[in-house]
Amino acid sequence: MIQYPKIQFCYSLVITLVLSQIGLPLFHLFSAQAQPSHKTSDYYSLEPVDLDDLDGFFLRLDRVRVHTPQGGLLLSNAMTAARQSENWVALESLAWYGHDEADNTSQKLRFLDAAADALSGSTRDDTISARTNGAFETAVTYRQMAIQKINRLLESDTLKLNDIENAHRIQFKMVKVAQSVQKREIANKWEEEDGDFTASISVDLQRRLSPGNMPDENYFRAAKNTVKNTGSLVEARRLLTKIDTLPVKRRSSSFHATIISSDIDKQMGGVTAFKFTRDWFLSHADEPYAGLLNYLIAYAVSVASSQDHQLIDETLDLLYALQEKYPVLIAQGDIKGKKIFSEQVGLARQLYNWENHVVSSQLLLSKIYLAEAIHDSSTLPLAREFIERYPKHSAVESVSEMINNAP
Amino acid sequence: MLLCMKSLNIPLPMRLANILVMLIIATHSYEASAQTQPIEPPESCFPTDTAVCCFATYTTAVVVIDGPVVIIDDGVPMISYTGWGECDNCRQPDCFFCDSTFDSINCVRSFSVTVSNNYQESLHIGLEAGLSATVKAQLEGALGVSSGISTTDSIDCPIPTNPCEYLKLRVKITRHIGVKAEIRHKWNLTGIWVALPASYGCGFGSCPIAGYQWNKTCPTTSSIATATTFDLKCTAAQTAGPCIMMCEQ
Repeated sequence: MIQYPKIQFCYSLVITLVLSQIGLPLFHLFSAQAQPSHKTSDYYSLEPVDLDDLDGFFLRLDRVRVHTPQGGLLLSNAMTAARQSENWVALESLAWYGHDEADNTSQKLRFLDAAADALSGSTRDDTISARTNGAFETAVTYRQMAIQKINRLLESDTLKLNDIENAHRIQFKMVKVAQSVQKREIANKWEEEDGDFTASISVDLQRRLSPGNMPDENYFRAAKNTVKNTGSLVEARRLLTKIDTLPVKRRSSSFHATIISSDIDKQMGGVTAFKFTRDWFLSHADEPYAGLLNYLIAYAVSVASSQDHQLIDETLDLLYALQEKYPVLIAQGDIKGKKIFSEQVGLARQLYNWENHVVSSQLLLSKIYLAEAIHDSSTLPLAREFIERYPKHSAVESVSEMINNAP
Repeated sequence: MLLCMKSLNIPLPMRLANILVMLIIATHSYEASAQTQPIEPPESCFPTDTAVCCFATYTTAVVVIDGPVVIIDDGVPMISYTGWGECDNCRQPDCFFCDSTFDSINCVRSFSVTVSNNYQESLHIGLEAGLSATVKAQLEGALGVSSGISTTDSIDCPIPTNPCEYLKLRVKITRHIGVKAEIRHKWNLTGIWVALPASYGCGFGSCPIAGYQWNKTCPTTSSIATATTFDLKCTAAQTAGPCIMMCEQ
């Protein structure tokens, strides 16, 4: 073995120490590039992303890797910037980069959600272009991908709440895309299928879903769109009836039917809304819902101008019967109305009497209009009672006119 | 460096070993310097603060509405009629046609948005208010409404085409009070770092001030907004009655 003189070793040590001091700044320079300091890493989050140079951005991401905190932050901020500027092309590219780099199915779902955002955003902005550029076909693909991923997670028993929520968001956006490009029947079919899928997962997971993702809400949206697109009340009833048997739901079928009735009123008129509400209320008499009763009482007004003497007669009888049978529900409506008026005007002034009895006053008013329409002898006594009890009601002028014009 | 050692006639294995030692020393020196010499906080920090901790103030929120608008309260409906409409410009001599006095009605429509603060951890009270306001402002922008501002619309009631019918006309007014809807949305925040003497804060990434850490978990990046509508709608409702040629000579 060759022996080196001690002096030679000392020389080398001194040189090493000297050069190490020269090398330190150099090392810092390189290390800062390879692994940024705390300060640099934080400024990554603040650096503007040049969305016009995505290739350069991806090269930068390739260096830090998307799995590292810095990489994840960079990508996240870039996607935020793309959303902010509604640069859907950039958002889609970024989302697919993240999707392809992601190392598990849950993460891939998250990035697929961002891609869905991009598709939905671009479709919303330019529906005509979306129709010609195959946005619907893309939506079909995205939706299938989401379902496949969910099924994979389900099979591997690793399905988490977050995954379902992500998948729901994707499916919701794809329904929107389908609606935008006028594929309304398919959109409705997807909506119903999404509800069926959610209803099939474990009850425990269903209970933890956020608002908007419960299966009853899928069926409700499908029913609402059916009314809007086809006007088919039979189909709307079929969809709403599915809610009755769900083990987990956000709201009852009667709640949803109430909202649908409002759409029917706007679209098809008050008499149709009345009939729909009446039939639903009577078919769910075992669990009567106060909100639906409120609407039923209000829609009864429309029947007065229907010129259908028999229907007017029956409706008047029904109102008396409801008053007799459901005093508690009517009182619940009054309490709710009072609360709303208290929030809206209660601070500015004291509530008028009718505002404390908003549903009861409506019931009396509906009876007056119906009685008047068939020249019933009860019209005048009812009208006088109304004016006496609710002198500040907006309908007092109209009711007074009835009294003044009475033969 | 290698050439320099060669000129001093130091053999290659020793030269390489020395470089290795140098790198180890350099690395150690760097790590030590990072721990002992505080990195200067960003310019936005308050240099006069003592006992700093990390805190983020948010200047920008991007709100994405990513879910359905869910009605959570069906409100209470109220329906009534106005008084009878009359002809006010009957044309002579053959007065078969006239305009109703009900050609339009002023309806007040209001819409308000509130954002519920469902963060995982409470933020410093000052920032929490700012955060909520920022998200809310963005949400209002996305929805095209301003919180607490009512707009007055003049809605034209549909007038029946048969003039005989609107001789007996009154306007049906439908009001839905207190209908509430939830708007699911998520948000991202960006902003500048500041250091404050308070001991709360949330932020992206690692704390930019050496030796300090974020000491609260970050808020969730979504919240639920509640929108309340107060609508007054009107539609013309025809009533029963024969066609009356009121102005016929």
